[in-house]
Amino acid sequence: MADPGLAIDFALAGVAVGAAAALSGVGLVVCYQLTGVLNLAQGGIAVFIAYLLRELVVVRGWPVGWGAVLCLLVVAPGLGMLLQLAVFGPLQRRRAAVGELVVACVGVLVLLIGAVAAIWGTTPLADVPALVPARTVTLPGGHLLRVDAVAQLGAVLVIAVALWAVGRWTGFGVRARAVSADPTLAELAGVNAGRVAAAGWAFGSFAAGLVGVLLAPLVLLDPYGLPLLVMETLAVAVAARLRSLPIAVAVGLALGIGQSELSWLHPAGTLGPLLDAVQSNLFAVALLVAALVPWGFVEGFADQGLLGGGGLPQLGRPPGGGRGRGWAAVACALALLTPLALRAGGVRAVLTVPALALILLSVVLVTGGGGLVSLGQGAFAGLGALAAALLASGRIPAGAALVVTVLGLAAAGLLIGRPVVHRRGLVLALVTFALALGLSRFVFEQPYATAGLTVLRPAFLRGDHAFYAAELAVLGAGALLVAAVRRGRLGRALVAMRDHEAGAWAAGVAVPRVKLLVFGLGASLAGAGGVLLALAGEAFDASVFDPVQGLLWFAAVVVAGVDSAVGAVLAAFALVGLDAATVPGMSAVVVGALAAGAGWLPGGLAGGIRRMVAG
Amino acid sequence: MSGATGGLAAELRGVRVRDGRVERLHGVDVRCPNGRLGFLVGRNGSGRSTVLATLAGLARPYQGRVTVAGRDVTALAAHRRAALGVVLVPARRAVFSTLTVAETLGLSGPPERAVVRFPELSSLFGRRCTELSGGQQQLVALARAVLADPALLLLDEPERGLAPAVAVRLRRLLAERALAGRAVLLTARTLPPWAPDDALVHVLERGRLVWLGEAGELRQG
Repeated sequence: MADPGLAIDFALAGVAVGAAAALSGVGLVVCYQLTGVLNLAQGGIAVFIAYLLRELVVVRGWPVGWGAVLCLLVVAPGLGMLLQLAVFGPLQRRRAAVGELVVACVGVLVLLIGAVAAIWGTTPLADVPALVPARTVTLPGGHLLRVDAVAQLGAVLVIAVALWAVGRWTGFGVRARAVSADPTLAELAGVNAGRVAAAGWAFGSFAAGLVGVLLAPLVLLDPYGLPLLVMETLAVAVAARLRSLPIAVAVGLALGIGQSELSWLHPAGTLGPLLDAVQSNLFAVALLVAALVPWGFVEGFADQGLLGGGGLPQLGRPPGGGRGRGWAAVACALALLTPLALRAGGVRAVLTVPALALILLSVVLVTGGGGLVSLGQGAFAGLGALAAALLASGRIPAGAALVVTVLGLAAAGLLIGRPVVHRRGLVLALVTFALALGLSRFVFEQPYATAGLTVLRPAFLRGDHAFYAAELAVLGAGALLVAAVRRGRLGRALVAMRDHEAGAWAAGVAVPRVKLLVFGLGASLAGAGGVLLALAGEAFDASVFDPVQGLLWFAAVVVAGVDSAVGAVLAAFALVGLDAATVPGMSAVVVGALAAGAGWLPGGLAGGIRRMVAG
Repeated sequence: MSGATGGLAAELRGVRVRDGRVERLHGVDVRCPNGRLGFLVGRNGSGRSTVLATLAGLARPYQGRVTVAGRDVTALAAHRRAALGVVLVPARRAVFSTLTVAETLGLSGPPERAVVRFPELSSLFGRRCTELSGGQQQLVALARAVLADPALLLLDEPERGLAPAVAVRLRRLLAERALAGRAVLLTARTLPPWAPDDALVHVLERGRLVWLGEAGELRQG
């Protein structure tokens, strides 16, 4: 039964995580307000700074205080200002769309994680220095209070109050709020919006670094786990609607304490594993809920200002003629057909390329065609793979499994599309990312959903050549479907919706229906790709459908060219080929570098090549 | 006018401006002499607002030059041009949604100074700009611009939404600025009847300058 004393103990134990989450939310809110960019790279900055501090203190023997000063007050803000100078400043100057900013953030995230893995390796580390020693004091009633948690909470509150005071009472604060409201108008009033944005990035990076340093001693430090943990604290900033510091602090603390309290409950029976999953993924649940609750005024705000329009107009139609596109299509077709002439080992190395291309083709349709920034296509692929595995385990023939899965995924796309039809721009991106995170945490990674699965190809596709040919046939059908959609009436409605949603409404386009349809079709394509991916490896691997992997796929196809099937095939070859030809992770580094450089290369790699071909 | 060369506060010479793939201005010349009112007259789509945006630094020409007080500022950012005394009030939504009236005026100078010209603002100081009517928002935007005491004041359809009495005061204020040696450039669909005969009028049509002369000449012929 409930014991108040125990509840207090659990609440006190949750303060440390709560304070870090609150700080993460404060950093994201301030950075967004001053720069117009939701810092999806926060996890990358956090892990980089955490590793750097460990290097200085544990490896080189620096005192923690000096190490913290260098990492948090020099390196982190410097990194933030560098990001503004080299990555986001150029994007903002040409008023980039939401999708481009998301892609640039993903690029920075991937680059930083890649740099950490390259410099310090991927072995999890336990000897991480803590800023405040983990001591406890005993309160009246025998409750134990961690001194470091109290110090963290105090630091967060001081930072939040100081930020509020600066915004309210100083000239810089007023100028920063002017930039936050309307950067163009602020420039006309003589305010240097670029300098304000640099300050926003400096603070955002400082907060991210501090979050990393605070969270690292609570978990094992590794290049992939910590960034994901930090990304889940997006929930705090989303709940604060990217503008309210008090709400960010309150939600962060509530979630940290709530998560600790939930660990107290252990119901028996079938609810047990589910509740355990909720407890360990409370931030993911909160992100899903916070993103799905209507955004009201903030949604309108998020679609204006520095964020530009909803989709990827710059990337959707890069300058250059159709000549380059024709040659690229021929080259892609040849590249796809070549493995059929190779020996079995050669085909096996590229077996996942058509499957991945099909998943990326769904991004071409949904984002390139409809201008909808969906970060959840990887999750649809995961659902497809899982459904195929479940059906195959139930002895249903793989061919039938594919058909059932595609139809089921179309229905799932329509179902999941329901809550997103009235959202666009950054809010849509967040909702779809939250859905992908939820599916990953509550379905793909849970033994109750994925234990004991066997995936076997049907007898006539057992050979790699036969399976590869079948994959090409499905990919070809998908490409034809996308081309037919984009040429037809639906395609014109999509273009109208992408270019000007209100105008499309006014012109009689049934925008919600078109969005649902495109989501359903996109989900089917991604699902089919997922089925092929599972059959190619003859296994269901949850890590393949991780939400961060989905971000990387999205960035890859945008960098390669999101306006045609060629971009999807090019991106699939790059993702598979670069890793196979060099070292695993190389594709992420290359995609990350190209994505982070989007400000210097409008239209991505494809746009650059087309401009060259067009002369 | 301090720092002016050849009596011009600012000038566009052979300016071509693109918006994406569409060329909005096809080699336009615009002059803003000190001590005179200037008008940009033309229909919708003639390029009036693009000329103002080019002078203010929001649109960057791919050909031609922009000079302010004789200095080439073609590559200069908008906030740096504002520091040189070029201030633009756009046609709509020219206030900050999250700032109060006092904070908005404070971006240009002591808010109390604006009350001398626009006494009705004193009762609005503590209110957020978004809580004001369209006319009041326009008044705040104009007051902030005038408070900055710019060498060149650029106004895009400034009388839109203003009460008639306030519009009359604004005209008087603009005339006084011209008398004080400052330059003012306004846009309008047609030449307003109150424009003084010596005002310099640029008539634009589809992104080209089709007539340049004084208001008196235009009225006569």
